[in-house]
Amino acid sequence: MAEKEARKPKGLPIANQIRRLRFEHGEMTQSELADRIGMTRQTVAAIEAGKYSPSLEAAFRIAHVFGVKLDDVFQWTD
Amino acid sequence: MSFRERTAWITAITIIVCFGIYYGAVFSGLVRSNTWGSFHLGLACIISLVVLQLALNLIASLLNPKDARTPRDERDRMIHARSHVIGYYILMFGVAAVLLSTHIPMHGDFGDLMVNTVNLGVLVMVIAALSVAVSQIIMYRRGI
Repeated sequence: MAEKEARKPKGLPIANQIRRLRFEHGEMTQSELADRIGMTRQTVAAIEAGKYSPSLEAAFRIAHVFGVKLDDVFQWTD
Repeated sequence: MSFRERTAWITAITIIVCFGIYYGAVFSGLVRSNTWGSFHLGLACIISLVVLQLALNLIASLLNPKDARTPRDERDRMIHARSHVIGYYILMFGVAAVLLSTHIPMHGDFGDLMVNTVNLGVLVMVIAALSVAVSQIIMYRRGI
């Protein structure tokens, strides 16, 4: 189910579960997540929509906010 | 739209408007290159560009102060860096083209030729600056 919900970028072979994880964590807004990882809301929106691949550090920060492992947030879908 | 993207739009539009007026007048022959009229028009366009950019950026930051205060994040920095690489190559290519153009034999007043070369040089810088802003807009819109 989670695989189906994953947002897969058009050009990048990386899917993410950020949208689902946000809603599972008290409907966290993109703005709240952005503040917690030190990014702008627009960058979080771009990551979520698959328009931007975050750095490894930012990816770990996102996983840390949700209290999950990195591959629970991002999946390689080659 | 993020504050950074908005500033890129402001840069692109003000460059097109201000230098469009100047080069439109010069290339159409409304103002002769080697005259005080052309110099004053160029000066007015540059001052207008600075004033417009300051005013519009101030308005943009007042409309969304939180966004304006937020420092550039990694995506902003990447877009900034990539757009300047594009601008750099366009500038280098343009400078080489202007240098080559000085070797083309032309007839006419030396003053006109000098001013035309300076105009071409400034045009190259304008195109490079515009390409930086446009590439930033494209990267913010389409993703990187």
